[in-house]
This record gives sequence, C-alpha cells and structure tokens, in this order.
Amino acid sequence: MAATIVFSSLLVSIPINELENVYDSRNLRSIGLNVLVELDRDGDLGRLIAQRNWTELSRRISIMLPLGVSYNLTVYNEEGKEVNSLPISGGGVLGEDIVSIQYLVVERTNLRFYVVRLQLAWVR
Amino acid sequence: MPSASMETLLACYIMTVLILSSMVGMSVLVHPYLESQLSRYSVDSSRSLAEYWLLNPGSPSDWGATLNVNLTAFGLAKSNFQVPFDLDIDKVTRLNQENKYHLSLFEVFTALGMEDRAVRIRITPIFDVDLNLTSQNVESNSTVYTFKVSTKRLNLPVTATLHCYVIVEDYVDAVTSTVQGEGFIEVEIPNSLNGTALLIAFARAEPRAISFNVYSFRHNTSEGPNQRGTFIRLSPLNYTLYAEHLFPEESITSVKVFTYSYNFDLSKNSEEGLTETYTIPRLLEASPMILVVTGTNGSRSFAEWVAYPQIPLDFGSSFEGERSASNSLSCVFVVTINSALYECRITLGEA
Repeated sequence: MAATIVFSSLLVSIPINELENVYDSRNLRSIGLNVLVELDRDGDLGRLIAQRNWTELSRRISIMLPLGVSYNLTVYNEEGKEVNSLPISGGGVLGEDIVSIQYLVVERTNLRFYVVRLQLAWVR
Repeated sequence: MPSASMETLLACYIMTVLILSSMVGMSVLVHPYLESQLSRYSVDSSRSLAEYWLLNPGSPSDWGATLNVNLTAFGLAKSNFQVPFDLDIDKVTRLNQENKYHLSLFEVFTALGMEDRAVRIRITPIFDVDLNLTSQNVESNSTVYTFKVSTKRLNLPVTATLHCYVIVEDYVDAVTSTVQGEGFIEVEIPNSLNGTALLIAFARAEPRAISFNVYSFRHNTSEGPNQRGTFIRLSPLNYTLYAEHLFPEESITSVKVFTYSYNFDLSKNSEEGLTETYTIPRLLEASPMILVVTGTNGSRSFAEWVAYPQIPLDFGSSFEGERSASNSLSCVFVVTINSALYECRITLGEA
C-alpha cells in the first residue's frame, strides 16, 4: 500500500513540468507571430525570400527576437518543397520544447506564395 | 509478548511511517501543481490584457492628442491601425512623466480598470547607442571632436548605419557612417561659436529598428553643458512642440527637428506667456524625431532637446524587491510607432 502511494505521488508530479511548458509555448507562439507580422510589413519578408537573401533574413529575425530565444526558419514553396538552400537559424541549439509557427507569405512582385515555418525555443 | 505480535506491531509501525511520509512527500510534490492550476488563469489573462492594451485605441480613441481628456478605457493603439501593434505617437508620449501634459498614474490606473494590480510599461529602442567623447583637437579655426559610438543589444554588437548631427547655436553639421558594434566618428565645429553642443546619433538596423542617443558637451567655453530641462521645458504633443521658458529673460536662437535622414527648422506657431508653440511636421520616414531648441540666457548659450515619441518610456510600478519581481509576469512585444520598431515590455503583478 505504501509503495502504491509513493508511486502514485510520482505520477501526479509529472504534469508539473508539462504545465510550465504550456506557458512558455504560448509566450513563444505570440512572440513568433508578432515578429513574422512585423517582418512581413511592406512585403519585406516575401521580397527577401524571392531574392534568396537568407543572410539578411536571418539577421533581421535575430534583431527582432528577444535575447534568449533560439530559432530555425524554413521556407517552402507552393509545391511544399524547401526553398532555403542555407539554414536560417540563430541563438544556439534549439531547446527541448520547440514551438512551430506556420505563416503564409505572398511575394508581391511575381505573386508567388510561400509557407514560412518558424521554430522557436527558449535557450536553457 | 509472543514474537508474532511483536512482528505484527513492527510491521504496522513501518507501514504507518511509510504512509505518512509518502503523504507528506506527495503533498510537497503536488503543491506547485495545484498552485500552477490556480495561477494558470492569471497568466493567460495577464498576457491577454497586455495584448489588449496594444491592440486597442482606448476611449476616447483620440485621447493621446486631446489636451483635456477624460480617459475611460486604456489602449495605446492608433485609432485606425492597419497592422497589429501599431501604437499612437501621442498616447505613448503622454505616458512619459517628463511631458508637461502627461497623464497621472491615477488617471491611467483608473482607466485600466484594475486598481488591485501593479502594471509597468516600458518602451525602448530595440538596441542601444552609446556615445563617448574620446578626444578633441583644437585647430586654428575649428575644433575636431572624436566620439566612440557603440551599437549594442545587451552587450552583443549590432551592425547599424549611423546618421549623426552636431548642433551649436544655429550651426548644424552631419556625419554618416556604418558601425559593426563599435566605431568612431569625427565632427568639426567652428571656433567662432561657443556654448553647449549636442551630438545627435541615429542608428538604423533593418528592418526599421532605429535607436538614438544625444550627447551634450561644451564647446569653446569654460562652462559645462547644461542639464536637460534647465532653461526650457519641452513637451511635444499632437505634432506641436510646447516650449516653456523657465527664465523670462532667455531667448530662443533656433528650433530644429532631426530625423534619421532629415533636419530642418520649425516654424513658430504662437506665443502665450512663457510658452511658445512650434508646428512639428508629419514625416513619413520611419524614425523618431529629436527636437532641439538652442538659445541664450544672458551670456550663456544653451541647448535643450526632447524626443518625439518621448521614449525611452518607463511608466507605472517599479516592481522593486524580490517578492514583487517574482510575483509578476512580463510580456515582450515588437511594436511600431511612426513606422519605426521598438521593444515594448509590459509587466503585470499578481492580484
């Protein structure tokens, strides 16, 4: 009986870590979407993708994200194929709990659609 | 007592100790879980509140530009914003306690509708510009000043394009440069001028992240540069600069506006008592404006300045102390004011 109680106490404690992660995830999702919307203002995000200017795109994301957040960005074309030839990432290795945000971008000059997937994690 | 009874008693004793200790252990483990459940709603509502203030214009929707206003609902967004987190330049400015027409903490907290919670709103440029005078070389007709410029974000270097201006009395000179975290710039001022000089530095990092700093120094005079607000109190609001003289005998030499790309004189609008008003142009450029007033008080030359929007802004509770710092939630946003990007951090204390 005692063993059962000790074991059940361990089971009950597991969701504590999960709850913390839920809070972090919501915060990160909001930050990521905020950054993508600001990047896309005036069509800059679509223009940089069309120019395949991954270095500048990475630099802009780095300056807009709060310090302590690592990221990885992948760009897909209309057929779902990966477009970026170089990894667009920064802030170190992504942590355990990664948030993924998908964002539809329109490149305004040639009217091409891209799907941007931004993965974020707090650096621990 | 028979040995069987002893063994039974011992077993019961061990069982009881184990059960009690496991109950204590479990309650210790479960306590934060239960606390988390209780505070879950609080965390969610705090973040939603912070977003609400940045996505809504408040009531009345033009409370930033209207001088005598009864603020009933708080919100910092522009009245007819097209994109999220686009803040109104005057609403942000009116939270700055240095502005003559600022709203009091009481007015804002009443409009927030949550007097039982501490709130702090900070709006700052995304990165910092530091200026330091490293040397000065006096030549026959002019003096050359060398400044060390640092563009950093929490000590991490930021590559930025610099547009600097130096102003003394009515004299203005501009310098452009690019720095990768650190660099030097030189400015030259004629020796025919004297008084407080200002070096205004704008640093731009794409996309539209603009930071600025103003360095005050003395030129060709033994008197030190004047502190801000010594001679004239400057309060920008609704694209009007209110310049309030703090000494009746002083006179204004020039009133100028500086942005990342432009600088020009402001025209005088009116004069009432000790307060003069100047019209600030509505510029489309993504840049904060630095408004500079130069003048004389007797034989002393001075220079006063103010930023429009009036940032950096630090409004509300201080959250000093370990307890209040630990019982608070901080949300970070990238916001836009006049097309330039800034960082907004809203901290909410527990109810």
